[in-house]
Amino acid sequence: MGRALVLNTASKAGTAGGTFADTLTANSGDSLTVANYDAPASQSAAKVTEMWGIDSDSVSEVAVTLTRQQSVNDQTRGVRFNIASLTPGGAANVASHTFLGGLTTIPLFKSDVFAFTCTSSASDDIVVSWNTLYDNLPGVDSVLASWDQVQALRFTTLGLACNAVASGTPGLYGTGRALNADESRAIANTWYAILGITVQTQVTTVAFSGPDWGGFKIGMPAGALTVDSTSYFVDQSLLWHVPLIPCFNSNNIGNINVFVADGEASTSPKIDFLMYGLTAKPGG
Amino acid sequence: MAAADQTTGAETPAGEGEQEFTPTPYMRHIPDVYTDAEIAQGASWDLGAGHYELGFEVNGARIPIATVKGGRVQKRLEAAKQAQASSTSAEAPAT
Repeated sequence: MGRALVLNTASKAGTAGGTFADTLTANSGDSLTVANYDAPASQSAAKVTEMWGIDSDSVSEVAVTLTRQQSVNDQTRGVRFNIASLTPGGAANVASHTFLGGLTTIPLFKSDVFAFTCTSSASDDIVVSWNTLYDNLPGVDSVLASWDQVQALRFTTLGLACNAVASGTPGLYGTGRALNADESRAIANTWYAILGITVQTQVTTVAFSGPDWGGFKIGMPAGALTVDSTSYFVDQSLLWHVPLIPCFNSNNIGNINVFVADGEASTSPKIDFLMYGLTAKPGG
Repeated sequence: MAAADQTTGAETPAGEGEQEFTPTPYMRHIPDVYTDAEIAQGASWDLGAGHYELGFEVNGARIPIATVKGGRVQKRLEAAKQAQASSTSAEAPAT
């Protein structure tokens, strides 16, 4: 079954400001459209599992709308999320607040389209990221492992640095940086499970993509409130009771790109990935 | 201000028994740089905007109280420059 965990990000730099006056647009390579999963159109076979975001300058509010009432109540304001952007630490220092946390979700239907409208002050920068879990996405067979699988296959532990930097435009992804660009200590032809990350500077979103996940991005928040997240994907897997720990073969490591998006320009978080080395491909 | 001598009860004039400190606010840019170890390993990534550190300096000792992302300070400085430029051009006499 082609389970897929897909991260998308939408943003706007330099908002006009006003009551729900600005609309976010998808970042390069990402989409606001729910992919055409393999299930009847009337069946929700995808859901937003996590959503987070920030207005790096001022308190603000984001309204998430979709067209299906089974997803969100209406198309006027849909689901509204406040952003306490100045807490804790003041403007620019928070980097992300959780919109959908714990077991809360937004059910999705194929080909539906997200719209993010925002209330902000003029010249703010807003960025929102969300993880979508597809039960069966044709063309994708992501290598996602359960915590039990990872523990059973574990033979070593690795912390690998990758110094991806955010774009010079707030909200956008910076240039993708290969996972082995700064360190090449991964053992050849070996499977690794990515458990989570640590950073030196808080940022809104850290994402990575590669052939083992169908080329889609997988990602996580790294804001002030979520900055210690070395077990993020372990926690996600346990939370949702499905294998959600991304694994890759080290032969692909040069094709795994790491991206950073932040509410401020050119933030350099310095990322260390916590991984377990595995004796075999999970489920393989 | 006079201070009471705890042993004799006598007052001593300011400046004799204590030193006056005058904190001076400062802001400095801490650039994003490669460390020597990173350079030795062939560091090649794009450097970020770094940070600005704000605090007080007392007798040469810096007391930082906050850091701000470099991108934010640069954005605000740019906005201030643009506001100043538009303000100046608006006030300029017609020629």
